[in-house]
Amino acid sequence: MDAFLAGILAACSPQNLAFAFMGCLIGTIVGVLPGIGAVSAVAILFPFTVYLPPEGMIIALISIYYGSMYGGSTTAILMKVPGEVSSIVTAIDGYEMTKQGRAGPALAIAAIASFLAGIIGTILVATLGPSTARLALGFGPAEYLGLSIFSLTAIAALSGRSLLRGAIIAVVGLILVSVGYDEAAGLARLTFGTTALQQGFNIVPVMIGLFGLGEMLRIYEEETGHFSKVRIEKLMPSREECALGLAAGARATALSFPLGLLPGMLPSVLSFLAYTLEKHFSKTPEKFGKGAVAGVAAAEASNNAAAMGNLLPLMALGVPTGPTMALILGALTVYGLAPGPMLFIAQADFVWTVIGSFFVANVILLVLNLPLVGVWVRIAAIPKAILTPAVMVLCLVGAFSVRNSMFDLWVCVVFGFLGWLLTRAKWPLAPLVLAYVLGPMLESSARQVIELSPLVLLERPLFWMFIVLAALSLWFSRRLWRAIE
Amino acid sequence: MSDEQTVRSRLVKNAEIGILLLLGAVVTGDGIRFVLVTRHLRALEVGGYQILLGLLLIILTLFYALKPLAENWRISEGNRNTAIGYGLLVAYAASLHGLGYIISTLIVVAAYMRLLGGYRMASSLAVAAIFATASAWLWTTLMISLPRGYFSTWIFW
Repeated sequence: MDAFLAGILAACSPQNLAFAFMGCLIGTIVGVLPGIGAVSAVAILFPFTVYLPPEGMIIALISIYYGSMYGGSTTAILMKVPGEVSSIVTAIDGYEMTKQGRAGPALAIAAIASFLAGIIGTILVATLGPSTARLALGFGPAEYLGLSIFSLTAIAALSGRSLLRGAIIAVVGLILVSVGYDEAAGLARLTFGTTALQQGFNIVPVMIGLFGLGEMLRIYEEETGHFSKVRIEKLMPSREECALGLAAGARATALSFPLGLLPGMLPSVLSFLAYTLEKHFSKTPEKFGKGAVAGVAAAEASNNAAAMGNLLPLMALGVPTGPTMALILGALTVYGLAPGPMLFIAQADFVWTVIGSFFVANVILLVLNLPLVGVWVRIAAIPKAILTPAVMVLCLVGAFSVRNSMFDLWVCVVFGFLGWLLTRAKWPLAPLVLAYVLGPMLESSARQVIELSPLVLLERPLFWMFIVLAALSLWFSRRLWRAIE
Repeated sequence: MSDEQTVRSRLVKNAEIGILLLLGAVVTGDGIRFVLVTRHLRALEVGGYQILLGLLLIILTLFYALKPLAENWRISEGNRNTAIGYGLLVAYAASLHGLGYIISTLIVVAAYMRLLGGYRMASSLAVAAIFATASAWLWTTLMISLPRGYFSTWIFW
């Protein structure tokens, strides 16, 4: 607990506070822009944070992530334009409340439920993080192999309705990350004799392309919604609405944080699940879809609790559970910091400052968001003919600036088209990204196991536990999608 | 699904299967090359992994081919705009190296506003000029290097 408090104090240093504030502000601005979700926001802005010190970079990225989630909810409630998939659920009841002239209470409930879920999630990460990291210290190649297989199976099964499509796209991700010079063997793979491909595809331009440019191209196909003037006369909800919202938020947090620890259980999936369960067990299910406060609170709390749950495996095990976490992992590796159990021991101050910054970012967003609702609404009304070229320029400059390479710029352009194409043809992107990040771990641990002797797997019960979990995730995914449908 | 949608979906699915099988074959072929041709201590490890991935992709794709057809592509008005948007993006990426950041950004942002937003040429150019110079100033202040192009010596920055 002392370490956690020290982390909060360190996060409150003027410099870190400034990074958190700027991250929340920029994240919210980007998040309210129609069509740009949290993953896209982090992907687009990531290259510009690599100029900050390591703590500042992670604090800024986490704050951008939170800010864009809040921003997405604001446009979902006011304009029925969800910035990302998880905000679709918020829009169901949030927009109905806006139409009924209750936009203020809807925004306030969303902000309060997100804030409380974020704070509870931060405390749980601080409590469970060190013990999870200690457990992971005993992991060898066999356990990491099992963990990679479990993560990839779970994300393939849970990220979309078709397991087969998830599995295919995950294998494509494993193939793409294998392109280039293999450092362990000193051999070039899938380079076809070209020197440009020997450096492989850097994760930053790949992610900017898939999520930033891909989303921008998709914007042209969709009606981005027309904002009718919303009057926010009353901001605070009534006592009854508060009680309903808080209870729903608490239930959604209790459901989404533990499930968020599992790979593939992205905020988008869990917000659907939390909303469905809340409606199922409600005494007044007929109110859902017609402006139910509990619906807004459940979706928003679930979103934030799952985001916090996603952070724990990243920090303690070094395993990302979704695309945003994969980007944050990439950000840490820029500084040579490898997330995982050793980070908690070798860089304890850094870890606690980052965890403290989760807390601070939640407070900043609560203070920042509600009073500035009018500003967010104006930003959201920027015409897409001005918005898209500006974001595209941002994406290309970001991709170029990582290694000052024109090759990276073209990688970004090609992956932008690929991202648009895959989304258009309803292929899930999350397994591709996770495979891209986990591929090297999977390959190196498999090689080490083979070098030691494959029989070593028989002596490692944790490996088999992960294999059982992988099988369970396949079974669970079928039930989950049925429940959501 | 209507007949037209079924035909379109079948075309898209066939294209997907073709691309995936080709990718699987290329990856497997590269793996076989390592194992059979490269005389390297770790060729079997590296090539074996490639062969495993390639074959896995081929097998999964064949299973996918057997699955019933689902609607997976809709032609919308937005497709034309997306094509223009992507075309301008490619033109921007291609021109950055030669023309440099400021000139290419000015041209491309103005083109976007004119072609996709229907703004008048003069106002498009004015907004694009402000955006290009202000953003160039911001990036250089943040110490982010930009492509300068062949005309960099003529331009103030």
